[in-house]
Amino acid sequence: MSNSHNNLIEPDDFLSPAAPSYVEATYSDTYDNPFETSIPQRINSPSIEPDDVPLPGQKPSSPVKTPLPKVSGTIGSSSQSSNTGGNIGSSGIGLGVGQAMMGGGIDTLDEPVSETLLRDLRNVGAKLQQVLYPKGRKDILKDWDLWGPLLMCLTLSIVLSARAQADQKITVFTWIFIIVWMGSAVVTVNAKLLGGRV
Amino acid sequence: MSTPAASTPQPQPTGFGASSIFQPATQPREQNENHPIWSLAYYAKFFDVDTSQVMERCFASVIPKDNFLDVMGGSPDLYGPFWIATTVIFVLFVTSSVVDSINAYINKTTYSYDIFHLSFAFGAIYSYAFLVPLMVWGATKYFGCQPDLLEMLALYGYALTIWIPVSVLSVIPIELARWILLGIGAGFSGVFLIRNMYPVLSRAEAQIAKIILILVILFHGVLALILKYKFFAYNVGAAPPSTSPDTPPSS
Repeated sequence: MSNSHNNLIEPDDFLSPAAPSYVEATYSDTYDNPFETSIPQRINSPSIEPDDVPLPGQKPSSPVKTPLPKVSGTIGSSSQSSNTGGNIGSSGIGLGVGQAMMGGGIDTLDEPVSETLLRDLRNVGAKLQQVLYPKGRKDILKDWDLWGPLLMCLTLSIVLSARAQADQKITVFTWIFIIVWMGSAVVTVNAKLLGGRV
Repeated sequence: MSTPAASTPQPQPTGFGASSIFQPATQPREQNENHPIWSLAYYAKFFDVDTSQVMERCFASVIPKDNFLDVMGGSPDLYGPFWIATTVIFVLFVTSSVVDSINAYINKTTYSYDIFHLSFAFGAIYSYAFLVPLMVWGATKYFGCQPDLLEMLALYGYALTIWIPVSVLSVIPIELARWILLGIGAGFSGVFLIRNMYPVLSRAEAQIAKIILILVILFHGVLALILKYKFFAYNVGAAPPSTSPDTPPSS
């Protein structure tokens, strides 16, 4: 029933100037929705439709869940219908359009940017801690992401490049970058060729 | 993401969907399928070696006693050549940087490593390990020797093994020691190469075989000299090498 893409925000829709209205007026109690007046314009978006935009032939403000192509079908269209069955772990929060649905169905789109970044950084930090000092949940690394490796690689490249000779800084940065990423690719291909399951 | 793949009898998933933890294959691999040449599975049959096999082949290349093709048992691999060449590159870079660092310490100057040694090693060793066997294979094939490209690559790849201990030992800051080590390295690997290429070369006419043999020895000597002058040049007492990467320090 739930769409497998329910954890994804389509990036171009997210950043498009005709920004979607994320929440209806009935939901938010902490943040104002600056895009509330642009709700009708969202009909033309090809991939994300707001919950309260009526489909052709449907009467508006229907509490029935409209079928959304990219977002999970279990998102309640307004807060009063959010308690109907099928919400993904929702705790009664009405969810709008284009939400990044975390495991608990928490609304992550209205949080401050610092909170978003810090959550990812804490994630990276937890995995780094597991790598450096392996105690605790070992399968934390299964939930992989590439931000951590990118941060590590960039930090290493920048530090080594800063300490290199003046005419070699660019080359040093390039080499470290290549070794880290191409090296990982080569080792992965090697593992696959040797018959491992990677 | 955590699709269990352990229950399938298929030993070698080539798709990208199986992303469980890496497990070494415990089932025998299917060798009788015809994979297309652009698929990864096609090349998997060149990597069908164990650690013990690779070690055995490495030792057999350093001490060229037996016929290497017998040691390989008729199934040359590409794992050894690729990883030995890569190891030689990084070992050369590290040891030559250590050499330069020791020189700077003795001369009481500051030292900063030269990343272009790594670039140079990369180019030189990979061309020697992959382009030169290709050329030799092409030449012998043209003259009707019926060579096997895989054997050529394996020979040249495993012949590089001796450069790893030679590089490490060349940290010794005595010029004579470095030349002796270079001679031992070039000698042993050269003998190894020629002894194992001789059956292939002898299938050509005598004149052609002699020319190809001389060229092989020439390439090998050029490699040895490049390694000496680029990486292990003797400059204790002289100024540390300048930062321009293209001048060999003591030529």
